[in-house]
Amino acid sequence: MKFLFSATGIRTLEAFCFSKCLFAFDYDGTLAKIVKAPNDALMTKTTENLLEELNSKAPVAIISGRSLNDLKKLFKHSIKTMIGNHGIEGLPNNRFSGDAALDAVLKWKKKLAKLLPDNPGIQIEDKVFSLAVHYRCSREKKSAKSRILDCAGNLEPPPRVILGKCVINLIPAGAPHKGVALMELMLDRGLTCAVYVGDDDTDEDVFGLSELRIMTVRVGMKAASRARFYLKRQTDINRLIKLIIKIRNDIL
Amino acid sequence: MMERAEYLFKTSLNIQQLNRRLEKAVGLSLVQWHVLRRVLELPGSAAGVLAKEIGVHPGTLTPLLKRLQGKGYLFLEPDALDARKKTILISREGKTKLLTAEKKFFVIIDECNETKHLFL
Repeated sequence: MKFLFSATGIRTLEAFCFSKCLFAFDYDGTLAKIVKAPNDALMTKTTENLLEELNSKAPVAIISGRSLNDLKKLFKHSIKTMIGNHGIEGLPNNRFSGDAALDAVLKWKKKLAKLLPDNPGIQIEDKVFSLAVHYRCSREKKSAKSRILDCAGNLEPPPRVILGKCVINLIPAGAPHKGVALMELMLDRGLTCAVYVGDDDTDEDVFGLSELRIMTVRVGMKAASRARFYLKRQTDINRLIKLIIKIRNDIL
Repeated sequence: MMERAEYLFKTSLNIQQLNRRLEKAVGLSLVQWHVLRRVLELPGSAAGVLAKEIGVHPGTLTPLLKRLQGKGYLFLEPDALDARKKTILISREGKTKLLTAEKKFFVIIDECNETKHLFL
């Protein structure tokens, strides 16, 4: 991984900005800091304004693990292109019919309620097409994580398990992921390349696309990540968006 | 058949002349313009993909890319995940050159009587 604000990173970003490029962002941990209660995870006013400004100059999308309903509340008037539930909700042309996913999630929820009854610090979030099992508030995070993973192993149909920051995501196997969603968006809008920024394992589905025309950026350096560039911290997102706006302004 | 061969020969000469005029006026040949334009539109492509887009063999593309790289119009960056792969990106200078050149380019092509018949 290379540092995005290195000479190489900046001229690579420039080259992408010169073209018909989609700028796509994850939400939690990328546009907004990770916090204990998901409802408290809000973008700063600066980030919000910068994103709106970018959205007026270039195609912007949010691709998040949050539900589409949640995203619509967060981006009431600005960003129109949003994909929720790790790529399941909001795909162009309604490509994915979620009936099988709904069934699976209902079954998992019932089973987990039996396997994880009244566990302080463990919170199951029903996102309709997936479940997110949070353990950020648990005093013993390691054992909470281990317990949840054990339970996940007993679920039928077997879910796809994606680890996030103090959260375990249970996603129906075979459902579209963030990488598929990004490619679909690019195709749908006739865009030839994209810059994608994310911060955790759920974004590896984008980082792992063997597609050089997607400039992948991870928030936080992690040697095992397949992202090509990284930002040092979440607060660098404002610097990145400002730079993209500046480059785009220079072109126009 | 003889007439066709003669026609093709004359057309080839006309395109060569046009090419010389373009290179003199804007510093880019038709081929260089086309390659640079594709690189601008498809940032981060590997050479094989770009060659396919342009419709040439990768071996033909390599010297073209080297020449444009030598002029500072594009750069080849090793892929951060696999240093064997090189991604091709237009530089700021390359983009400026391309857009400036295109303004004169299209005027010259339009004025060029020798090739007008090709588009009828």
